[in-house]
Parts: sequence; C-alpha cells; structure tokens
Amino acid sequence: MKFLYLAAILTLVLSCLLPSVSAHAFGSFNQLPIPVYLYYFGAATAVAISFILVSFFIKRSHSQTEYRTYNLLSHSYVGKILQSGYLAAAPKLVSAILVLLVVLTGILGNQITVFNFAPTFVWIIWWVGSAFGHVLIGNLWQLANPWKAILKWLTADFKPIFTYPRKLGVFPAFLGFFGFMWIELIFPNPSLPRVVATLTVAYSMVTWVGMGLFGSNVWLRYCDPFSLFFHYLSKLAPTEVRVTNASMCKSCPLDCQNSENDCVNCYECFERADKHERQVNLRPFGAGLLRPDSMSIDRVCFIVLMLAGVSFDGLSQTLAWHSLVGVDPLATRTSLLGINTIGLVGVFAVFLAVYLTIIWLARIAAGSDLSMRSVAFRLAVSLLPIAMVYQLAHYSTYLFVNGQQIIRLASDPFGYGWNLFGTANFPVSTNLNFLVIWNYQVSLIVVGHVIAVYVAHRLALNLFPSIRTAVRSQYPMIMLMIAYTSAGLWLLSARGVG
Amino acid sequence: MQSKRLIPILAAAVLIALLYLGLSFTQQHQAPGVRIIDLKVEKGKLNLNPPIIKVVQGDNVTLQIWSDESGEFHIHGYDIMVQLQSGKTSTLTFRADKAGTFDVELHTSEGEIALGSLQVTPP
Repeated sequence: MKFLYLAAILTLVLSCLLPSVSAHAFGSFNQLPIPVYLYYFGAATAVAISFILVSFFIKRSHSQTEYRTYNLLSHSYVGKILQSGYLAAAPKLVSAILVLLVVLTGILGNQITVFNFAPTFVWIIWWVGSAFGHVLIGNLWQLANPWKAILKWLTADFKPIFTYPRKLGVFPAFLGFFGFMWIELIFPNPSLPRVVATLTVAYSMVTWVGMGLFGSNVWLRYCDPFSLFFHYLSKLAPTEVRVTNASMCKSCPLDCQNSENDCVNCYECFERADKHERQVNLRPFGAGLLRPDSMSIDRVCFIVLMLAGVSFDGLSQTLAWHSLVGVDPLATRTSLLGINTIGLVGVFAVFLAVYLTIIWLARIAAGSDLSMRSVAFRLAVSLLPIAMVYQLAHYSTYLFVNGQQIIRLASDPFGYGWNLFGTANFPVSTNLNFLVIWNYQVSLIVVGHVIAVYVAHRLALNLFPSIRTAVRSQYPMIMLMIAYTSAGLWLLSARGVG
Repeated sequence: MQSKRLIPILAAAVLIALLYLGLSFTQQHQAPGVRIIDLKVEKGKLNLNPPIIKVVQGDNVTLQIWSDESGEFHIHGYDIMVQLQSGKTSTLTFRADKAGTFDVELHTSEGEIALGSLQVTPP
C-alpha cells in the first residue's frame, strides 16, 4: 500500500519534469475554427428560437414536471432480459477487465502515447466517449462501475466503519472533480501511459478505502466525482430507473428526497426495492431534468464546474487568451502550470458569480419573495444541457478521429507489435470534411441552448406561483443562456494554434 | 390549436433557413492554387505571429524555409519533412489535400521545438 503511494507520487513528480508540447490531455487534435458566418448563424438562431419558444409554447399546464414513461420491465421479453443476472454482471466484468488492462498496459507497455492502449482508452473512449453514451442512452456508469462490483465480490457483506458527515454534502466529489479537471487540462503529461496507470491505481485505492469507510453507495453518492458527473449527464437521457414506492424513498439512507410519489435514478432505493416496485423506463429525451433532485450549494458548484472546465479548455486554446495573459501560444504545459491553474479557478469563479447574479436578477424581475437559495437550486440543472453540448462539440474531432486509434490498439494494447484481432494496421482516417463537423458543432450548441431555455421555463413555472412571474423570471435566464451559447460558439470560432 | 403552433414553427424554420443561406454567401471562398510561402526560423521561432501557416485545401504549397539552426522541419498529420541547414534556405513542396490544423515541429539534435501549426481550411 505504502509502496503504491510512493510509486504514485514518484511517477507524478517525474512526469512533471518531462517536457511536453501538447495543448491538451492527448496532444493536439485535428480541429479548425468554425467560420465567422456559422458563428453568427448559431448565435442568431439561438436567440430567435428562445423568443419563439417563450412567446408561443409556454403554457400553465407546463408547470407539471411529470412526463410519460414506458416501463421496459412490463414487456415480457425485454423485461426478462433486463432482469437477468448475467446481463447485470456482464458490463461489470468487462469493465473490471478493462481497468486491469489499463493498469497493465500503462505500466508494462510501450510508453509512446499513441502506441499504448491506456491513454486512448481512458481519455478518449471512457472520458469523452462515454459522455455521449450517458446522454444518449442512460447511466451506464451505474451498470458498469467495476470498483463497486469488485468490492462486493471480494467482501460479501461488510459494514461501513464511519457514518458519512452529511454536512459535507458532495463537496468531496467537487474537489475530486476539480482535481480531475486539473489533471486533464493543466497537468503537463496526463496522457503518458505510466501516468494514466498510476492515476487509475490511485483512484482505485481512494475509492476502495472510501467505500470501506463509509459504504459503497454513500461514497459513490457524495464523494466519487465520476458518479456525480455521470448522474448529471444521464438526467438528459431517455432512460431511467424508478421505484414506485414513496415510503422507500423516505427511508433512503442517502436521503434521495426525490418526490412525493416515487423516486427516480436512486440506485440505493432501486437495489432495496421489491421486484414489483421497480421500473426501468423509457422517457422523453431531456425530461429527466424536470424532476426534482436534491440540490445544495456544493451541487450547484459541481454543475458550474462542469461548464467551466470545458469552457476553460476551449479558452486556453485561443490566441485571445494567450495575449490576455501574455504567454507564447506554443508554451509548454509545464511552463503554464501556474497561469492555467489561476485561469481554471478564475473561469469557475466568474461562471458561479454570473449564475448567482442572474438568479438574483430573476428574483427581482419576477418580484418574487422566494429565497435566493430555492431559485438558484431549482434552476441549476438547466445549465446541464449547455455544459453537455459544449463538451460534445468541443471534443467531437478528438473522439471521432483520435478515437479510431482504439481499433488499432485493441490488437496491440501494449505496443509490442502484436496483431491479436488483425486490426493492428487499421488506417485511421484523418481526411475530414470540416463543413460537416462545423455544422454538427453549431447544431449541437443550438439544440443544447433550446433544451436549456425550455427546461428553465418549465422549472420556473413549477417554482413560481403565477405564469406571469415565471415568464418574467426567465428574461435574465434567457440572457444568461444566450451569453453561454455565444461564448461557446465564439470559443469554437477562435481556436488558435491547436 | 395545432395550426396555431404550426405557423410560428414554419415561420421560424423558413427564417432560419434564409439566415443560413444569406450568411453562408458572405463567406469568402478562396480557390485553391499555387502558394509560395517564405518562412524564417530564428532562435527556435517561426517569423509568423500568430505562428500559423494558413493555406487552402487543394493548394500546391511550397515552403521556402530559412533557418539559423540545422534540424528536421516536420509537419505532423501530413508526415512530411525537410532537412534544414543552418544559414541556408530549404524547400518543402506538397499538396494540401487534408483539411485541419497540423503541428509543425523542428527536430534538432537537442530535441523537439514546437514551431507552430499548419492550418488548412476548406476552399
């Protein structure tokens, strides 16, 4: 144990000393700034659709936050498949093998990033790629989390040693997420295979120790940054798990506080519930954002950090940023450690301040006596679609181009020159049609904007007593959304040297 | 009720389509051709600010590079290179058939120096 920590610290220190030229976790990736006309088009469309949406499509009945669902378990075949024990175990087994493979290839394999399975798998397939999966499918992390499963296999029934101090909320997860962002965006060599392996080992240790101290579900709910991140992403997704017994929720040790009648996406309740009280539902895309979810200032900070992290990544690649902070656009990450750390914290602080100011303005505009907290907490999830689509747009070529490497690496994970599945010489297509990519990026941003405006409106209708106050409260919110959307488009149009 | 909602949707769709068409016409299209660019590498830096070599997809590009240091001038992604000699001008000719941003580096006996990037935009 001590040796592992020592090894982890040594590797981190050593890798700091190595030179690095990459602007990103994975070296530079092929991208082109979107042309100015698309920037204006995206911004104008976002504005136009916001106003049309608000003027014609907001009705009193929208204050309801319920939505239609279809229970897949009620279907005879699909239900049987979903409830099979093998199906539940398979993704956990696969991901446990993948974690092991990441650690082995990272430590033993070729240390040139593109010849090693670990960096491409962790940074591109898992981190960027599974974000798509969580938005488009559902909470895959809950299905596949290998750490919880391994602990369960090893120690069938253990009692947590401490009770988690609830006052801390998700603050540990927030800190963990900040650390992760820092490693991805600022740390000099995050894609060195050995670093990836070391980080994976360190994360596993922390996770298991934490689970042992406080219990698996408690740790994952409050302290694990990825569980919270993927929980928020899958709020947009068209699937959910639901327990139809409200008393279940009231006795939930994680105080899921979901709703009066039932609880959604609380896996603790879902595990404890009787078979006939469980549902695995299809639901309209994005509808999950309307559901009440436990909120607190630390959770608001987490959501703002999701938006700030990827925005800072975009910002730090623009020439405007380089000239603002007075650094050479080709400077190495090592030489930018300080300024980038200040930059990341700064973008987060600005975004948080802007959000809270807008909420304050929304209360004034609505003339409402609701507390600042209740408004800020209830509307925070409407930032998620914007954070999401910017993430997907920003990393699109990264995923689609650099992600192809995984096909090659599957045959030669250690970079020893193997050809296990005959794909070791897979030709990675680098000839891209940027007209398609640009339009895809701009459409994504506009779609995210529309979902955000719509969701914020419905949440306001649910929160404020009259339709009049609700609509008024949304003028500052729409301004905020338009500002974020334009900023996102500007970042896509202002990319510098790569 | 249905038609009441349909009209603004249609109007918006038409407006957005017109906006897209209108704005895309403002885009200046550059025809590909022959492009000769003089570059200078001094003290490990390119004489461009920002250090981006901009060309159009389909261009026949000739880079004439003078350098105060010997080494290998390398464009990633295109994976083409030319040997530079201290105090001399070397020429690198290629067809810019791939769009995107590509790292340009100088590999010297002391290590790699990031010079900037080659930016190839669609015509």
